Amino acid sequence: MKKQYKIYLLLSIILTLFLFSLGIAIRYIIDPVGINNKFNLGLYKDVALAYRTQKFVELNKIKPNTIMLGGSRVHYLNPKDLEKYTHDKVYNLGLSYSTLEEQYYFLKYSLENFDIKNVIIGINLYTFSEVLEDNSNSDFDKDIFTNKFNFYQQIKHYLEVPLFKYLKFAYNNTFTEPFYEDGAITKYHQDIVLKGKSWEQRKNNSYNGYIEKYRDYLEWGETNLEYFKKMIQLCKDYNVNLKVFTTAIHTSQLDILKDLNKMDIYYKWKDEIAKITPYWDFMYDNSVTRNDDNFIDTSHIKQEFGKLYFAKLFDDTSVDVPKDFGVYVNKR
Amino acid sequence: MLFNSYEFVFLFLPITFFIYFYLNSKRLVTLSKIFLVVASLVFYSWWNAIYLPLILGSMVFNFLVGQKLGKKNSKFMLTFGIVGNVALLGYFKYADFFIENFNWVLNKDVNLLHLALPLAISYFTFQQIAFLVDSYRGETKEYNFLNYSLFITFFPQLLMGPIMHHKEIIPQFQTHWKSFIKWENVSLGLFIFAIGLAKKTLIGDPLTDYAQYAFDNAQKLSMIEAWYASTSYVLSYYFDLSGYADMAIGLGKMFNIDIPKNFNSPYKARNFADYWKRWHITLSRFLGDYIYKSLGGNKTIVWVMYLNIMITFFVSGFWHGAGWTFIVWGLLNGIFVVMAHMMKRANLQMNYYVAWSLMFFGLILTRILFVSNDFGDAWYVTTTLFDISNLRFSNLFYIDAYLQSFYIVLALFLALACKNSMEISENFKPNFKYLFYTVILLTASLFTFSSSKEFLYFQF
Repeated sequence: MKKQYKIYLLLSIILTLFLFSLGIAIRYIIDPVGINNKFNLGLYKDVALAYRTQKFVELNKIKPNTIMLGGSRVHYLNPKDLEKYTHDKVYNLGLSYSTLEEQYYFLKYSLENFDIKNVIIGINLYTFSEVLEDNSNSDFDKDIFTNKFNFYQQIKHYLEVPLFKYLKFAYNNTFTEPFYEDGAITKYHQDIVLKGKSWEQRKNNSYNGYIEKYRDYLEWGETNLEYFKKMIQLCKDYNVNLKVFTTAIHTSQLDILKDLNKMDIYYKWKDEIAKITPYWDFMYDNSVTRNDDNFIDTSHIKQEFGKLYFAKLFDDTSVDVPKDFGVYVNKR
Repeated sequence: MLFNSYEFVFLFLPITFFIYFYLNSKRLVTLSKIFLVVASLVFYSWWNAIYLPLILGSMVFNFLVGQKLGKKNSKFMLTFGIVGNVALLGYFKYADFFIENFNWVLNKDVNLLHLALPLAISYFTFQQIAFLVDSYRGETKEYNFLNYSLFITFFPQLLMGPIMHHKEIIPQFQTHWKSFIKWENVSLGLFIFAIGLAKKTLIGDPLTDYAQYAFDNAQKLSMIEAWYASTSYVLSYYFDLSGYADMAIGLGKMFNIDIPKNFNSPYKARNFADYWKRWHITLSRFLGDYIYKSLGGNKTIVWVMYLNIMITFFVSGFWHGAGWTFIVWGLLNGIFVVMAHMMKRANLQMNYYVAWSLMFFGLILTRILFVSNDFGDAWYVTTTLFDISNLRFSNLFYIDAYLQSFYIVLALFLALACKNSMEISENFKPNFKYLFYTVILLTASLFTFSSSKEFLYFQF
């Protein structure tokens, strides 16, 4: 009888480990996010399931000379528009719901490991808030920068990816082109977002969301500003060409801040940034931000207007930029 | 450390198991016990060692006070010991609650302390108060600090119970045959552990996810969403807590230690008195032995007995959380239990299905109060359950109509129509059927660890 118990235990452990390993192997082959891309099963990859991990892996493959950092507004910017000025390999490190802590770690890693010459940082008021809305979908893991996506982290990644959710998405998928390229959201993706939705619908969703976000979370504090200071210092230490700009938002977003009596935070923020670094300011009421047609929603300017930022940042007079779009703010 | 984590299953458990029994096999019994205490403290402080001195200090304090009480049953010493424990718990768990109320009543602006609650403080405080009271009563048989440390820290029950009594655990560690590996116990323990793990990760966690999301948006729920969210929470609490208890029992079994059962199909109860005999049994036992009976229990006139029940549930509510919603939750449970006793005394019998439906609806009401952020949310969700004007069948943003329905039906079926894990394990045999169950439950659970959730009572 004692032997039977031993056999039961041994088989339980061996079979469990076998099935568990088999499951990981299947996940590795399916590769929902497109991390290893070793087996082509014809399934559309869903990068959004693990943005941070995918970007880390891709960053190491591309080894760029120019990086763009920021949130989803930067994520929409086309690296080709920037390449025109830097003439080197550009990678977009913009991340949806990005925090300055994440940006700091991505910047530090890039500077330490690649021949970075240019750093472009697109900043957003909300990410400087002392209180940030919890992003439960974030796959950010600081250890990845020291362990460089080692075996354990790969296992962790393949286990964390929600396989059934992905398979449901991949099975119903009708997309034909990639959603992301060189780290950036593609024009194709943007068109999908815009398709069949009126401006009013798009505006309302983001407008209402930002009312709650600004009301519940926007508070002045130093924690995230410190990360920004560290980012600027890193760029100085590595002697890279740094350009900072505030991202343009639809004018209606400024109205939210006014309605919530939070314009003092907005002004203080700009003031504090100017104490740290000179920057180009696009986040104010102007002819571009007033025009609904220029926006995907109240938070994101369309990709095709990204070149206006770069024309200003690189002083390119050949591009027709509305005169009231962009103000250079000197360091105080 | 969580039971549902890779570091526990693949590292901590096998290493602790083999070293403990290896030391015992070499007749290094004292060393094996020291090792088990140290391993349990590593388990306790895995994420944050900051509260390690606290649990160690608490253990030393209570052991010394207990020892004094064993020599001389001084009321002063007992009061001193209990006050010490209550003060510790009060400082970490209730300080902000008292400051908030102080500010509110006297219109002051005293800053809150925002203290993080040390893991398991509510549990080890209760266990140690019981030890002191028993020492005072002369019921504590021996005072050995190593055995006492094992009683408090033994890792399967350390974080979330079952709340064990020193008389249950210390003699077991002194039983000679329990120092050696018993493969039948290890097998049975693994099987029970697999059931508990699956209950928590495969049913409890998804239901908690759904319910939490809905309750985070409590004021936006429609009638159907309110029913789904509250029912999901009722079920997820059962699968989460009883899952943990099963895992603790299974792990204890692997070490030849019998840990008392904590749940006995509570949702099969027909009234709240019966429900509380089946739910969190060791907590009810503690409250019954040390609060209810100390107040006179049921040896007094009936109205005093009802008052004793209400006081006991008031303590229970306050133990569960530092907030008025928890206190009202406790009192509401007390009222339901008193009502059950009144009906029994009056010999009033209800149709089985009517009685069960009322009991289950009572569970929904009390659970809403328990999980809501404030009375506003609780009131909104409760009234929305019956708000026909808020009945809609589309735009149900806070539920997943298909998958959540599946989980609710499955959980109800398992909780109401099936044997519970303890009943299932009574028939355990090392055959293919049980091997199949064990492997499937363990494997399926392992895939959930990367998105694992803390246990709902983890910060108690």
